[in-house]
Amino acid sequence: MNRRELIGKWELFLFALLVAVLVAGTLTSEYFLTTSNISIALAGAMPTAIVALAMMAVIVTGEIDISVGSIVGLCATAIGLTIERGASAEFAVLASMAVGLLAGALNGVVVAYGRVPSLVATLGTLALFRGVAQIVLEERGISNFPQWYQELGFGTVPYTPFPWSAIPFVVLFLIALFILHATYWGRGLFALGNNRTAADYSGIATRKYIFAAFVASGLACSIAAVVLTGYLASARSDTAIGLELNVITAVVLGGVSVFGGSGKLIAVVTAVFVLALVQNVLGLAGVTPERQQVVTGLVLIISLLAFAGPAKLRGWIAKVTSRTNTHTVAN
Amino acid sequence: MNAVVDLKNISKRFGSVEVLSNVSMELRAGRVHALAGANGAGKSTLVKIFAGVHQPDAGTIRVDGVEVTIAGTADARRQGISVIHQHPALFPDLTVAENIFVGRQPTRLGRIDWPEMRRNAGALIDRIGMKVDVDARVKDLGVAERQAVAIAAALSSEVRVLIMDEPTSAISAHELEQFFAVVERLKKEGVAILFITHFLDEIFAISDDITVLRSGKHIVTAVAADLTPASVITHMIGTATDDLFPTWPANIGKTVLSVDGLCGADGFDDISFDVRAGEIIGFFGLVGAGRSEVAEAIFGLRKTLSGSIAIDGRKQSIRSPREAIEQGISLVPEDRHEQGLVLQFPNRANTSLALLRRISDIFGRIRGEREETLAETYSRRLGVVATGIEQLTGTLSGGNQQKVLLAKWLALEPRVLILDQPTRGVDVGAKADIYRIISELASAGLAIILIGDDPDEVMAMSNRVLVFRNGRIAARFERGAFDREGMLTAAAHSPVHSLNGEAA
Amino acid sequence: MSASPSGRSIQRRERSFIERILFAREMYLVLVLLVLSAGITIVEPRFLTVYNLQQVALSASLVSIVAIGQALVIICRQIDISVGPIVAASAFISADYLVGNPTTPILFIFLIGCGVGAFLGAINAVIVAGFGIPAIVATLGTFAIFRGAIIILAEGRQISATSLPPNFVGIAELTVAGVPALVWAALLMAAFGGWMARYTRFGRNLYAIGSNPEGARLAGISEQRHIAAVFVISGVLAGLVGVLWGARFGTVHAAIAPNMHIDSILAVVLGGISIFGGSGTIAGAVIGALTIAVLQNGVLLLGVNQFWIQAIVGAAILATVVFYGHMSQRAETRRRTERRDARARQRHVQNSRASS
Repeated sequence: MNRRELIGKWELFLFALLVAVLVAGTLTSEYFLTTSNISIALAGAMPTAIVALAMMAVIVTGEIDISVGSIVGLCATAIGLTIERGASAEFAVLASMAVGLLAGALNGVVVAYGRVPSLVATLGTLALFRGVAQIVLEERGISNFPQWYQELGFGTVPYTPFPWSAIPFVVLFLIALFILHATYWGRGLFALGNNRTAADYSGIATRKYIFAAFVASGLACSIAAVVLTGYLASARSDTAIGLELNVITAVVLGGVSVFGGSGKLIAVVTAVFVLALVQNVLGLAGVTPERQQVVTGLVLIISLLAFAGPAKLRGWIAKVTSRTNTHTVAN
Repeated sequence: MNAVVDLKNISKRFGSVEVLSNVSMELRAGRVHALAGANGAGKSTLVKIFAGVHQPDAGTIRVDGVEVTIAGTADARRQGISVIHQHPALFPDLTVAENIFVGRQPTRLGRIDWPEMRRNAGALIDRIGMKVDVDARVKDLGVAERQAVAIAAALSSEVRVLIMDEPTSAISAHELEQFFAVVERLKKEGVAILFITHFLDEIFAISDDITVLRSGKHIVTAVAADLTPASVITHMIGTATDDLFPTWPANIGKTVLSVDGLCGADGFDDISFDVRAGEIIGFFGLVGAGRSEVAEAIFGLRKTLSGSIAIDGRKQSIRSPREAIEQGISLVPEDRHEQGLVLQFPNRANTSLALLRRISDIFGRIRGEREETLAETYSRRLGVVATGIEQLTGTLSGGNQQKVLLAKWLALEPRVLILDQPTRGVDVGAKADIYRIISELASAGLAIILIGDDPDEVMAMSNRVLVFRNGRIAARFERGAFDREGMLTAAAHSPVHSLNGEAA
Repeated sequence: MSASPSGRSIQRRERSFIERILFAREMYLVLVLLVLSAGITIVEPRFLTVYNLQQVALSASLVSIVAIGQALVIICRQIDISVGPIVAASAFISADYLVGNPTTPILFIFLIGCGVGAFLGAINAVIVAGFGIPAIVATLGTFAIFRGAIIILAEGRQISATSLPPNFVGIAELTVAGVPALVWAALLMAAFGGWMARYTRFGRNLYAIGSNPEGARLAGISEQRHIAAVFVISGVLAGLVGVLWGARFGTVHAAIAPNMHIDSILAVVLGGISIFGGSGTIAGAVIGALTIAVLQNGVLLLGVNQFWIQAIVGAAILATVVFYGHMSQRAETRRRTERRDARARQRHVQNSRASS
């Protein structure tokens, strides 16, 4: 059973799915393949895509970060506040990154060093970060962003359908691709996600790696907040509520095991775009956001079930082989 | 008198390894049957066949003369066979009483009768003669108390055959005496008992019959009175198979590692020794005697309370495996699945896992060609049989996995190599390869610590042997003055003559 | 502590130690609850009025019924994120039916609500227990599906108290012995849940599975069946709360109970149930829910900005899990030290024996 090959097949499946959605979109709506529609779809997908890059790193270690939506909301709040106080947009971006860094570090400290399960820890910070955003902004929305800032979220690179926000995404994607699949740091994440004890014995500082993955998640959220506030042209305390569902759906659809230790970034990014285009096609067909949410949830469950078949098979094989092992070792 | 359980010509193989071949034995009511054998002799597999965990490939099992198959633990229990495993599966969050009756709690009107359950648990604990609070949670108990809970659980249903897999390995002398009393009592009740242990004195203290296994083969079954400890040892070890072990010219240099007065927070005390370049030091002892704990402390995995570790005469404080690796120490851990390998990785990635930083450029990028060269080189040097360096390590045989594990730690080019039971669970061919590799490494000037519980292996491979017992070095032997029985005696934890008259 | 290595002395010491641990968790919470209530009362004496205490008990009762289900789920090492949408679905469907058929017996309405909950819980059960999907992602998915589905079903409608028959809305005003009926319902559920957890094999098996799944299998306990059962139970209890929600608030729409997953998990965690499964009590979860209600009531009474509530809840979760984590780590170190001492004594005895 060669896992590399399996994921290779999964990627092919995702590419085929992407093509199918493109075809379906073209057939159902004449607006689908227009430049403006594609750029709107891409611009809308960027926050999810950016956060998914770091979420993959977190899930590869076998942890999870469900506070991402709230971190984006908190960063958006920081952006709104600084701009409201008359600071430059550049400063607002820095403020957002600082807030994201701190939020990610808090998650990382609690999970990696406080030995709290990431599920509960980030469920707690999900409420905490959103709560702080609400305390600060209450029900206000801030929208007096400078023109270029809004361009970042909505405008397109001249002569292309690509939104400006695709540039930070591509840069971050390349960095994440490099780190996860080419460096010793990424290799360490995969190693500890598969077998944390063996990683410890190999001199890998596993706690630091987990901490760093959560910090990366916080930072990615802060960039996503910049893109998203530009796209929405406003910052509110409820910005990006429920984002974690989209992100985790994309990562799981991308074939990353929620138990850690396996996955490919290219597949995750493909999955993000599949989801975004599905939602776009549904939107064009007049399907309400609520129905789109149902579709997202269904896609999550169905992709999990699609994995459960092979996983059950894998589990069975593992059981048979481990029986051999326990046997030979136990003697 | 007829046998309660009767195994005939049982064989079992796992992959390429034949673990049991043609083993027969009978358990009779009211008799204690001891099963002896070195590590890897097949004792645990035989126990698992009794328990229904494994099904034999060949041979028959009869209960009361009727041929049966034992389909699983529950099935074994229904047939009156209870097994106490070496590491019993207890529920740490539940109380002692609940652990004893889990899934079978006494009920009254559909409601668990706690007072009744606690009374019954108390009675079972009393029957064993131990003193354990039935309301205590198992996670708060010591090892011996957990063992008592496991025995009580095994006795909670009607038992005709009780199988105990090394029940005494973690209990103190005083508790041992109580334990023997329990066995005597069960014997009188007519229970057939199979008793597996490393300790010969215990075998002769309570057994009626003795069966010895060696490398999965049935060597002898006899009444205890017809055997002596010395003859059992000979049966267990056999005549030394010298051709398995290589010989090499000793080329001993300066002291590389010296450990002085090392005390650990958990498991060892006052450990001092030196290892010189080109020398192999054997650590002989039983599980839990402190040998692996000392190795882990040197490797920065365990805290030490006092004492010092010096490399080339300079004292070093090693607080993590990373620092140990930087000092040129490699530890090949005993459990290659848990501690050693990432089974989902290809051999290439396992070989390079501990030295990724060294083969990465300043951006942290792993240099692919260096990684591949490294994996190819060590794969060839160690003779790993695989489709290539991209084969997933989990799909290799045990012996080849062990070679990949060795490759991982040799690729670091260490100066001190610690091997914790490097031939555990590998077949004879791979064993010979691993011994040859170790001897070559010693010739090349590595300082080597070889941890083992096979006295033959340790004696054949070491220049000196330290025997561990209860966390201390109990005896030291130099090559030329090795004494197999002396080592076994030094490692055995409870001289039988001191048992009597021991007052609490 | 005596130096004797005899079993009895070790046993007695460890028993008191266990008692300390056992009590530490729930005592800690009761203490927090008392201090919190006292603090609020000192600043704002209105807290101790009968009316206010009734309000606190009412809001605690809804959360605590959901928390009982959540507690059973968490005890066997799972989690249910989808409880909020189940409450909403049950509330809307049952209230909508009642509006269309005002003469329906109230009992039948409860059956509808619980049936909706059982159905949705069964979907979770199939995905988690049947296919072996991790509960966290599975119920995150059904969380979205259930909520979306009920929003679609509701078509933006809102059911208000005026369109519901008075005998239904009257349930919330009903008191027995001065205690609101809703509170009685919660107490009844708590008593039943607590009884089940402690006095049935089913309940004890949940602890066994949460404590050591492999061991439970060896003991012949079907992990799948038990996990499926707790998700259905959690669904039924959430469904019950949905009906009670309609009775209490009168206003029902598709977006109610948005934070129920957080509140119920917080109640469970506050109540000393280990998120790793295997330990904790139903009573703890109920006290946890009560603590949240007191906290929220206090925030309102003291005139603290309502926007603070969520941040306080989040901080409370973090503080609790870090505190419990720290406590169990300390207990672990302590046990290790004690075991080492015991071993050292053994060694001493044996060495002296060997030399004699």
